[in-house]
Amino acid sequence: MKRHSLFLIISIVVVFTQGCASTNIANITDVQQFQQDDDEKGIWHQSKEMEYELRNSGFLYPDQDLADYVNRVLKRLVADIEEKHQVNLRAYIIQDPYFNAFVLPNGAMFIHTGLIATLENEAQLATILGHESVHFLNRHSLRQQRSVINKSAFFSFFQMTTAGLGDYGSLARIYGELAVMGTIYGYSRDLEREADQQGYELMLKAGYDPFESKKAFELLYESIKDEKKKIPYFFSTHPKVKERIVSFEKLLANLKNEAPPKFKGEAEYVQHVGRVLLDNARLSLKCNKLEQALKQIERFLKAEESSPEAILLQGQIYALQNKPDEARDLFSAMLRDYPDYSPVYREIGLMVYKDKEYQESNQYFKRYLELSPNAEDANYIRGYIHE
Amino acid sequence: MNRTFSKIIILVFIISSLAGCMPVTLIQQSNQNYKKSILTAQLPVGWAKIRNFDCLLHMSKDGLTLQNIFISRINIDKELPLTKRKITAQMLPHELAQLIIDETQLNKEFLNLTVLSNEPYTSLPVAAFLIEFKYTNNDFVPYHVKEIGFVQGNYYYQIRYEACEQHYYHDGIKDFDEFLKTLKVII
Repeated sequence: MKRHSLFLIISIVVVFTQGCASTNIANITDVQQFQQDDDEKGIWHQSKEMEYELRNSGFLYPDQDLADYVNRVLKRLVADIEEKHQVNLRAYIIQDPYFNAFVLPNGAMFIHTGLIATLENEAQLATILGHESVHFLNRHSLRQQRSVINKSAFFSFFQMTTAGLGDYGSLARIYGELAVMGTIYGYSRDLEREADQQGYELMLKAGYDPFESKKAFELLYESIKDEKKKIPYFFSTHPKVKERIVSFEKLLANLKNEAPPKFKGEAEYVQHVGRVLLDNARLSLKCNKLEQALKQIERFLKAEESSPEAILLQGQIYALQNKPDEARDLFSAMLRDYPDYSPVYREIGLMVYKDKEYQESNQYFKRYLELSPNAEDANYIRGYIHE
Repeated sequence: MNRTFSKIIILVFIISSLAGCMPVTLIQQSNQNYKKSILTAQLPVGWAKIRNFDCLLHMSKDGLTLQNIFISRINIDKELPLTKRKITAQMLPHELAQLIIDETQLNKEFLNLTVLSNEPYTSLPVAAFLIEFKYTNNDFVPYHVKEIGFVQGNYYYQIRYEACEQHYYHDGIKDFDEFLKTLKVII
């Protein structure tokens, strides 16, 4: 019993002297010269590796013009802070139809095409970029890591007193991973609200219309509210997106007597983002997100109404939605408007082939092969011709 | 109480022994005939057959991370995990191939995926496709895959050769092609 008491006292001393790391962490903007803390160096190293992996994964969206544009918007928000505090935020775009954006603890920001394709203007994009920038500038990953370690100190103490052994080696590894995961799946409510507020201040200072901040999240909410499958990403989660709407509502309520900036940057956004709408619609189609794909094609067609590529995709979606008449009407109109556009012959041919109207399908397939003899699927189509 | 406890211990021991080891059978001329489900084939001599409950057949020649041949099947009633779409018996082979490519492309384990070819496969009595693609794993090691797929009954069947691009792909591809020549689907 005496030995047990002694062990208990030693354990308490160990936990309270070693277990608690300070969560009183200065923001990058609050210090003259930013220097990483010792435990932060590990997180940065891990982030650097992750950034390298993502950059070389083949998942980046191959449009340098768009990447440059997104980075220009980012710099408009944070260039003065970067210069003053010698840090570097940079943005990359990932081909993924799900809504997500995250910043690694070292300042590398990643935005999914699904998110970009849903937003409508530059001010809304600035809202997301501002929010993520604050996670970096306020070192939220380090705060989260230390908070997790401190909260688990009690658990470790409990383990030590019951088992007499604490496996700190493996815990440290897991906490490191948790810290990086936090950047992807979201932080605590307080940290997210802080990112809302200070990100909102960044966009105001950069001259963006603040009312677009709330609209950005309303657009996301509108797109995910009927989603049956749960997506773990922060910007794809109903309650978290709803919280952002409430949060920005409160921030906007404080604007009553001021004259806020008016810049939305709609034309600029459409000019750079147009192609993403079509490419992301294709990705959405692959993931069976047909409604989302259709909305993005409709937006794309508003800007480029004579794109046979987009109209064909629209028809393919109608066919998948079990709307064969709509699909066929669209394809028939395409035959009239774009008589040399080969894929439309293939699409009609396949519809007719599935109805076992082989004579008719043969005609369409042959015309397709005449126009595109080296098409990637030419050998499949040749195989569907019944002589 | 003690007897029940001993029985549990023995049972746990047996289960762990069965699950823990990975029985490997060297393929020789005497055991190269394969028949399972609707498939028959002559297995390549010199390869090893590995017990793997996730698939119908798993073979390797030089090691699991270097080169593998798998035959697996999945029930088409199930939605594919990433595309959230179902394979149907009515799908034409190019549609089926595209769905499998889409599913693979969405998988973040397959980095830098490049489809090298996508063609109909006509050596079987069922409508099938043959795709070939390359990818890198999370350590950026390049792999090369050749895969045949088709639907029969309620199942999607997949016959896949996957190997490290460097040395091992070329080392095993002749055996895989010979194996494919002997593959028969019993309808």
